[in-house]
Amino acid sequence: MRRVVAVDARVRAGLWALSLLLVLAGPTQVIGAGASDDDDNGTGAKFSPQAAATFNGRCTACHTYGNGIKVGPDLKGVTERRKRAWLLKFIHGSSGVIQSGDPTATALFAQFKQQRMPDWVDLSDQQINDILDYIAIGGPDIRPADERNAATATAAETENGRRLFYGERQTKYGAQACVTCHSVRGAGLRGGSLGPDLTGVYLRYQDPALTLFLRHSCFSWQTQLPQEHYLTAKESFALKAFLRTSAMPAGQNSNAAGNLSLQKEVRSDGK
Amino acid sequence: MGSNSLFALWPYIAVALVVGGTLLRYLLVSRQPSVLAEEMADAKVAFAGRLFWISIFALLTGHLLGLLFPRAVLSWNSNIARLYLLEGLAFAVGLAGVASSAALIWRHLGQSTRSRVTELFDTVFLAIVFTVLVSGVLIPVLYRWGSSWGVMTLGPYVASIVGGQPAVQLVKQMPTLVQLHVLATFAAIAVVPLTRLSTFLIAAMHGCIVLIGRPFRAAANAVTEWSHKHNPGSWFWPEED
Repeated sequence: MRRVVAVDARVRAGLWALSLLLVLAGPTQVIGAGASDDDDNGTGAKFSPQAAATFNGRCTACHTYGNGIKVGPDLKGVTERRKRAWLLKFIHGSSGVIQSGDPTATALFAQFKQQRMPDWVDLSDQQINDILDYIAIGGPDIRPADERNAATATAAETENGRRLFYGERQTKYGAQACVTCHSVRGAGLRGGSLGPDLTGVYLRYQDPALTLFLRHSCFSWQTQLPQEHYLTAKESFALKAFLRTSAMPAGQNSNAAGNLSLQKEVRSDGK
Repeated sequence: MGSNSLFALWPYIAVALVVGGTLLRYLLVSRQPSVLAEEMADAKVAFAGRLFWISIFALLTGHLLGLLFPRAVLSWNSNIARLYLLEGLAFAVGLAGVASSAALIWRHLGQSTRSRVTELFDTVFLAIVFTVLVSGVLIPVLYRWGSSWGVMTLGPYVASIVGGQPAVQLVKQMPTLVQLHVLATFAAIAVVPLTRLSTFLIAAMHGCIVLIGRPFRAAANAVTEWSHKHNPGSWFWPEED
C-alpha cells in the first residue's frame, strides 16, 4: 500500500513538473516569427536589384545621373521629362524612332552629335520598366537605409532597435539578439558579458564606422556565406539608433531632448 | 602547435587516441575475460559516486541537446525567466559536479590497490575532468549567457569537427577560460583508454562486435548447415544402404 502511495506521489510530482514546463514553454517564440518584412537591398526603397545592375552595366557608360551630359543626356528626371511609352520605344530601338521622324528623337540625335544609342532589343518591357522605376525613385542617388545618420531616427525606429537588441523582436534572418553577449546601460543582469558593454559604442565608433560594423556579423562563420544575410539595412539602422540613445547621457535619451545635438551631428556629417 | 592547429587537430587526435587505445586494450584483454571482469569491478569501486555520474550525465545531455537543437535553446532563452531557469539549473548541476568530483579525487588519492601507472592515469583523468567542470562553472559567472552564445559558437565548432572542416575561428574568438574548457574536454576523452574506466568502453566495444558479428555468424551457420544437407560429395559417393 505504501508503495502505491509512493508511486502516486512520484506521478503527481512528475505531473507538476510537466505542467510547470508547459507553462514556461507556452510563450516560446519561434525564431524568425515576427521578422520584419523590410527589403534586402539595404536602401529602404523598393526596386529590383537587377534593374540597378542593368543600369550600371548598360547606361552609365554614356549617361550620368545628376552629373550632367556625358555622351548622352543626364538621366536624372528623365521619367518626368518623357512619357513612359516613348522611353520604352526609344530604349528598345532608338534608330527606328529617329528614322520614323519623331521630333524629340530627331532633336536629341542632332543635339548629341548624331550619336545613336544602341538598340537594347534584348531587354524585355519589364526589365526596361524596372530600370525606369529605379531611375524614378532616385537611381544611384538612393542611399542604403543604414547609412542614414542615427540622429534622424524616429522614436519608433529607436524602439524597434531596442526590441531587436533585447531579442524582443526577431531579426529577419534570425541573427541572435545583441543582449546574448553584450550589455548596455540599464540592461542589468539581462545583458550578456561575453562581449564588451555597448553603452558608449556609438560615441566611440561614430555613425559611419558603426554602420560599417553592423553590416558584418560578430562571429566570422557567417561571413563565409556567399551572400551575407545578417541584418537588413533597416534593422541595422534601428540598432544604431538604439545604441546612439544608449550612448547619450541620462536625460538626453529621448529624441526630443536630444534634438539639438542631433542637428549638430547631422550638420557635421553633411547628411 | 599554434592555436589554429591546436583547435583543428586536437579533437581528432583525442578521438583517435580513445578509439585506438580502446581497440588496443580490447585486443590485449579480450582473451582474458576474467582480467576484464576484475578490472571492471575495480573501476566500479574506484569511480563510484552517484552524484558525480548523475551530474556528468546531466551536463553531457545538456551539451548534446544544445548541439542538436540550437534553435530550440535560443527560442527557450528568448524569455528571460526561462533563461534564468536554464542557466541556474545548469550552474547548480555544474556545482554538484565540481563538489562530487573533488570528493572522488580526495577518495581516490587515499586508495592504491593497483599499479602506480594505473593510479597515475586515473588521477590525471579525474584532474582533467575537475578542470573541465571548474571552467564550466566559472564560464557562466564571468561570461553570461553561455547557453545562448555557446549554441551559436561552440555548437557550430563541434559540428564543423564532425563535418571534417573545423571552424577554428569560432573558438579562437572565445576567452581563454572557454578555450581551456574545450581543450580539457578533449583531453579527458583522450586519456580514457589509459584509465580503469576504459574497461567499460572495452565491454561496450565487445558487445558491439558481438552484435555486429551476429548476422555474419548466423549466415555462416546457415551455409554450413546447407552444405551438410546438400553435400555435393553424396552425389558422387552415395551412401550405401
